[in-house]
Amino acid sequence: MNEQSTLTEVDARGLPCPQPVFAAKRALESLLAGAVVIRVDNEVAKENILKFARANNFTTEVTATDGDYAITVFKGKMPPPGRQIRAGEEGGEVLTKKKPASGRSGRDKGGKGEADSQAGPGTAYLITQDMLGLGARQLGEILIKSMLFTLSERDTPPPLIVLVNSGVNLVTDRSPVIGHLRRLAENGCRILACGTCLEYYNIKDQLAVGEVTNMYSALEELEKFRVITV
Amino acid sequence: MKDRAVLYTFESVHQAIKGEDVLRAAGIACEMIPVPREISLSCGQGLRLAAADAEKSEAAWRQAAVSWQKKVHACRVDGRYRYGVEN
Repeated sequence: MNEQSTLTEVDARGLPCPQPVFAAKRALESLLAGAVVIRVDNEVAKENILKFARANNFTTEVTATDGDYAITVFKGKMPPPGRQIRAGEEGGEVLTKKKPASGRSGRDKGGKGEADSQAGPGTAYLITQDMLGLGARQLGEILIKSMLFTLSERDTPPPLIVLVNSGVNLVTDRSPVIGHLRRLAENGCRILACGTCLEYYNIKDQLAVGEVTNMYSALEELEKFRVITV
Repeated sequence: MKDRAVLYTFESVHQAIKGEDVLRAAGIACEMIPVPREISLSCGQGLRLAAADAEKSEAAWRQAAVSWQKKVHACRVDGRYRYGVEN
């Protein structure tokens, strides 16, 4: 293997999300070992690249200048020259945000759900269709309603619900469970709806609760919890 | 002001579905919810509606031959319904 260090620069300023992460990924894939410096002009892109680095166990270094960020991602055994953060290392938190003790997304409004007596990181739900289970649609719709109602009534809501495929129908303003989902969101549950799916079903403009997500973020978020898929 | 409500249980999910259809046709708002454990250990679905609509609903069900099992008073406190509370 080439022992020489390689430094590649990628200027991702001005690129819309999630392109900076793709650019970083491509640059790192073409590298056996070395470093890639990715320049971005916003906090979200910086955070996404750091998340990507952490997921891949890469070391990172960030410098900020005039609102721009230069993220150096080290691949292979190349120690960064200055301050370093070992992504993915035990207890090594890349993000500057504090990690909530219960593993929740930190969106709690306080009060309800704060006193989380549950041990462990909690359970996230991956909802893959707009009904619960296989069989009669009428019953499936009753059951998904029933499930989300029950979750919304809990003192401690689940930390995360990710909706994909026809599951995204549940986050529109015409959804029969929109009230339950709104309540969950108000109590601190993070709700992520698959952007590709919203687009496929042509309902992107009807999102009434939660955020649009992509596969990278959805998987990263789900991997933080035990997941129940319905 | 507290929200007064009533929750009706049914002997089967089919009756609950029929009960919901009848109320919808009559323009009475209701919500199908899983019957709370403290009311029944069955895995049934119940219909919750405003207490003010109880009489009207029962009449509509009588006419449509929908039979309900149990009627439980509920009241909404701090955004959450408490059951078994007299209106």
